[in-house]
Amino acid sequence: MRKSKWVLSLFRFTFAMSVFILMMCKTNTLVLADDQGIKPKKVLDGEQLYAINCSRCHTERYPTERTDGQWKTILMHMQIRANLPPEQAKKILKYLKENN
Amino acid sequence: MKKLMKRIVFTVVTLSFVGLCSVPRSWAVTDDEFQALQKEVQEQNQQIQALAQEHQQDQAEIQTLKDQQGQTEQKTEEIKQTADKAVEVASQAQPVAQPVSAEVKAPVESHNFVLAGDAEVQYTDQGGGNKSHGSYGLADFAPIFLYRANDKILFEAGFDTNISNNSFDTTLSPNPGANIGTSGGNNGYSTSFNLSFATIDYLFNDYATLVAGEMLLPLGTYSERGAGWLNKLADDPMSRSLLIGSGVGAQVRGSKAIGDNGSMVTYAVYTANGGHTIDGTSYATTYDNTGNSIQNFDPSGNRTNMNRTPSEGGRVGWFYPWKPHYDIELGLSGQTGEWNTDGKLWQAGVIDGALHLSPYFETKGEYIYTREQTTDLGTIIPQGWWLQSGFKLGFFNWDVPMIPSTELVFRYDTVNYDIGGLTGVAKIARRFEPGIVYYITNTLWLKGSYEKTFYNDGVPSDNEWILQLSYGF
Repeated sequence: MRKSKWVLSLFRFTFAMSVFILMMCKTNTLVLADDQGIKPKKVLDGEQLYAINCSRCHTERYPTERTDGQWKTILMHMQIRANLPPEQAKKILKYLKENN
Repeated sequence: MKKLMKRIVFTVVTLSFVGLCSVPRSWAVTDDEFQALQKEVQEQNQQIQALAQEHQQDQAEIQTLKDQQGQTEQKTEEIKQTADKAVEVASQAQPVAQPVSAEVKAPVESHNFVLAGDAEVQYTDQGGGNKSHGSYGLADFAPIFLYRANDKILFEAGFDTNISNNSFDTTLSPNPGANIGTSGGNNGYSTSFNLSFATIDYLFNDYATLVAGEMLLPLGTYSERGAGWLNKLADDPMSRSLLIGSGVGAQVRGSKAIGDNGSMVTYAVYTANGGHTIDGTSYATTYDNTGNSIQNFDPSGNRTNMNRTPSEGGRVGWFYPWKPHYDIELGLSGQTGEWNTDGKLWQAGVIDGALHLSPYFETKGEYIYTREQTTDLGTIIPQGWWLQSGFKLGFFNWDVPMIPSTELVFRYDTVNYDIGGLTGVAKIARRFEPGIVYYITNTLWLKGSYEKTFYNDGVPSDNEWILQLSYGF
């Protein structure tokens, strides 16, 4: 029992520190490779990211099923629910808005 | 030869002479012939005059047509000039028209409210022993409301309106232990309206999002990304009954892309009210309102908080796609905290995985390990795992009706409640579930499956046919 409580305390400390550190992180600025003078790599576009991420859990929805504003709300929801990196979510949103 | 030439010359000279003599005779014209000729000439003159008149008429007609053509060309030119002026006016007016267009578009762009979710209706034929019972056992409507306040704040709430005919007559199952792991097993008819989740989400930055409220807990991925319409089989894996699906608390979660191929690492850390007992005690089992033994741990997350302090938990995940529809995901999650007023702990650890190999094949599963400190059985270790695979027949590219829209699904899951010390109660359950999904559209699915569940400790097996129509919106 004593060991379990020690583990629990350690876990709580780790949890609190993790939250603190994450909150202090600055907003990431996406820097493209060519801005740094590095040869650009093949970067996935929104359509490819849409196929990669969305079909993991459900059948793909047609871009025409929603308006631009609705897709924006849904992508915000999926960014949180599916833990999508923001830059990927933005590309997917761009693809959906261009094709709806 | 000379004779022949002479004869020819003679003949030619003779004929020429005769011809010359006959010509003066033809110049001699009689009066009758002259009058006839004169008449003929007059007639020809009349014809010429008639032709001249026709010619004049034709010329007049041609002139008329030319005039009309000229007028048409003039009109065409006028129309062209008018069109050019219109284009010019329109181009000049565009800056003025843009705000109007933007105004029209604005409500669409800022359309920040979305209704999503799913709905199901289900027919079930359950059997136990030598009896069976078929009924429309479920109608479910589960809307999700999303409201985007701005680019940083999202409010999301999911409801579950469920009307169920609990057709499973426990007399069909000779042993009440068969109901272990379900949330009740009550007979009759019930309607429920539950708040599945309701959170306020704030995007701190690209790495961290705060989620606060009634949350789906990231213990594995099933609660967040596998239940309801997303599930290709109509019911949940038995082993999920060992875990809490949701809880009130706060969470920080996010992800970081790795490279440019779409891979990422994800995390979630949370604190929530934690595990609950059904009857408030620390006993491993309790009874439902029909007297059946059921596990005392409540997986629903919709109970009064009976512990002194909230629990903590989290998940880390890794996702690696090597091309669209080809990817692997692995995750490790856990939770620890008190689950009753005695200060006894409930802890869980989950390993989850998913693999996609082409758009046609996927497999995913979870291994679930829990520890419960109980009053009657000491520390028990309920655990289980499930593995589900799907294969879309579109892979074969057969030109046969319905086949390209069909997917075969199979799931095996097993659970060990570790409560075998109780007499007559099943400790272990194993279930085989083959099924079929027919995609009527990309959002309207018809699911069918057959379940065969085996228990230990001499508890007879159960079987069940399920047909479900499911719609995601």
